[in-house]
Amino acid sequence: MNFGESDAERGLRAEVREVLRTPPVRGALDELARAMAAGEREPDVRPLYRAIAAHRLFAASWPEEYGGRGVSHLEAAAVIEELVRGGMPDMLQVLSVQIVGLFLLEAGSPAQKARYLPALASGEMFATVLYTEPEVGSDLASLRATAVRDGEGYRLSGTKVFGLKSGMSDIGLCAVRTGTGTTKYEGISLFLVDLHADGVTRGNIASLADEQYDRVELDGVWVGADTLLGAEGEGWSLLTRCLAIERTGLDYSLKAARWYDATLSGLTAGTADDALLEEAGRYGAAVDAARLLAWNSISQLGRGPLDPTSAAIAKYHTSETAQQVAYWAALVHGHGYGLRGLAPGKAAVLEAGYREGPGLTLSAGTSEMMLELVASSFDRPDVIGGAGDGSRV
Amino acid sequence: MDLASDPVLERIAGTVRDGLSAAAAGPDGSATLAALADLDGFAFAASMELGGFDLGLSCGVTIAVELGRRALPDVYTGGMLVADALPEAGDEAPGADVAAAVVAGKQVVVAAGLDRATAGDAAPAEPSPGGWRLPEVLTVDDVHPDAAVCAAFRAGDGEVLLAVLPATLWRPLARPAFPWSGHAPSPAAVAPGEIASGQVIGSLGAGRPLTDPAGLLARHRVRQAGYLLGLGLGAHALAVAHAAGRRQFDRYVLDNQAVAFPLAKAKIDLEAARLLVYRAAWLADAGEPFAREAAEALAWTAEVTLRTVRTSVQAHGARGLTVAAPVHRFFEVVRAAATRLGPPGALWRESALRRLAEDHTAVAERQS
Repeated sequence: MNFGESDAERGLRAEVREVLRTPPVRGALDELARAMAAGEREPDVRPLYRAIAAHRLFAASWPEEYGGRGVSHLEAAAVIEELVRGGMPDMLQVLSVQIVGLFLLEAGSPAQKARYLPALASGEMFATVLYTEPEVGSDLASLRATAVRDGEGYRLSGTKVFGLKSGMSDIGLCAVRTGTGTTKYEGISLFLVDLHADGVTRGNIASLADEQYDRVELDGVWVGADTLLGAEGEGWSLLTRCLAIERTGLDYSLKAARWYDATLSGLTAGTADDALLEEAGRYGAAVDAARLLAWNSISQLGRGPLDPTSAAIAKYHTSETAQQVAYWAALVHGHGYGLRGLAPGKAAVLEAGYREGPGLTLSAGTSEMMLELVASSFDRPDVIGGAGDGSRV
Repeated sequence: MDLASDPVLERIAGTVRDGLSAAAAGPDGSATLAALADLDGFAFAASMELGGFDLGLSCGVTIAVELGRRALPDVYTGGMLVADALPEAGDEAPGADVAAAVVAGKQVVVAAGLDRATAGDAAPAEPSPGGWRLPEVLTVDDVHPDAAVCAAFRAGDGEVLLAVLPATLWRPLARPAFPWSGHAPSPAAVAPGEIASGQVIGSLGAGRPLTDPAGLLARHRVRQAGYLLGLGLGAHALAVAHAAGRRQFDRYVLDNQAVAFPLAKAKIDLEAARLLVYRAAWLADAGEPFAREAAEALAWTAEVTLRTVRTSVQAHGARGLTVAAPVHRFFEVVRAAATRLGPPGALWRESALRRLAEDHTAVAERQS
């Protein structure tokens, strides 16, 4: 274990800070700040992303041929940490690069990688996921959207809900049913759907957080066979393999840290009583642990597939901690976050955090599902090949 | 930051675990002392000047984890506190003979008084012609009949000092904590008495939080956190094994979410504890500041392990309360271990004050 920074990580962080000071990036950040101050709930982050992507920092871990720098997952995580600390909203980057992009790198054909990855890395194209549906919830294998053969391609029909950023995205990684089998896990396939195609209708579902949930209707949308990811009907195994990628917890750990720092910025040793100090210490350690658990997951990524149990542990702790910190901040700073003279910018961060918090323990797998995954890894004599409960150090 | 598991520490953990497997559970640490001494375990993390291998605090933590994993008496951490205080002491230095005996595996030391002295509410020792007069009773864990005591006390000027006192100074209390079981060390008392200046081996500094100039307190906290982490891991493993094999209502107990989920949550909390503990140890070994991280590792691990042991006992049902179930030992041991260096609340307050100071320093640096 090495809890320090490598020279490469340190160098990349310094470079990111430089990039954040360049006029195009600074200008885009200032525009975002203006829009948020004006009360826009989802300002367009794409100009900012493109300015950052011009430095090949948007998907730094991807191979150079796909628009990245070929740096390690750990170094790429350092880049993301520094960008988010510098003010970059991360949701669309997480969707486009950390989820759909990594999925493509893992499971895409050479032609699909060549077609989509450079465009995603440069900010020319953005992506989202279209997984769940009304009445499906977390039980993804119950999905009802279909794809039926039509000439050289397929026609997709169905309704996808609770995704994010569909309005700013160009493609959607979409799970649909292409057949049936002896179990509901068979016959699921994954497609990359052009969200500008005929038959696609994108809308929002009024929701608590600044990031509004989406509703995407697919009405006989034609896609070519070359948009099928993996083999037809074998999408479930791909999904289970790649879902862990969503659960490193890095994005949640950064939210937890941002909200904790904003909360603490309104406190001083002189104004905090013993009870408040105790909470500040306890939440501080939880936030630190969130970062460590996220980096523990990322450390695994470079060595092979991410262990689903480690990912579930990271996802559970990071999202629960971020949510708890957001709630705690509301109690500490009182009505309108005005009890302790918090700066308006920090109050706005905490206000948005309070409304975003509930979604964190639902997205990318609910906390209950994470507990189920962790419990299923316990070493059990009645399960052949039980995962064991080792003693890593 | 690459948090992949460390193969060297894994090998050390495996070696220590195998070596300790023969040590009998129970309050008498003689067998544990002998098993650890056979491995040269007391030398692993001690300085070369003391005859050790200088493998660092991370190694010391690993040994403490393995002791806790079987709820064995803590014959280790008190001695390492002395070894830390006297890393380069010559033969003539006060306590040097004790430090050498510790590293050789021939002397157990138990720490005392750190809970009161670090909280700042300990009565100050009165100066006497030869040194100080200890004003109050200190309690220690009675883990070995010949254990020396490393006592922390507050001198008149507020400085907290460490002194090594001989075994003859302490005595068992009249009433053991768990008289029916006999599996956990009972508390013993160090009677008020004279401390000679020649018995003082180091300083934890003054103020609140203590300045701890040599990092002695912080290092001791990290090892204690390691022992607690081991207690949590050990109790959890017992609970999983029991619940996975016990059938009720025609299914395994572990198949009930009401049982499995608290154990899953405990595993998550313990994994966070593992990273917090080893981060503090790594920072110490790298020569980086680690006082806040040490306090947080201990506070987190104390709270998590108490909860985990409670959950683990519950998962055993009524048989977990009997001396026939090994999990009962963890219940007995964890109470003293969780607060031996002060209650978690005090540690959290210390951590918050350090965080606020760091935060305001960072703001000042940005503004300049």
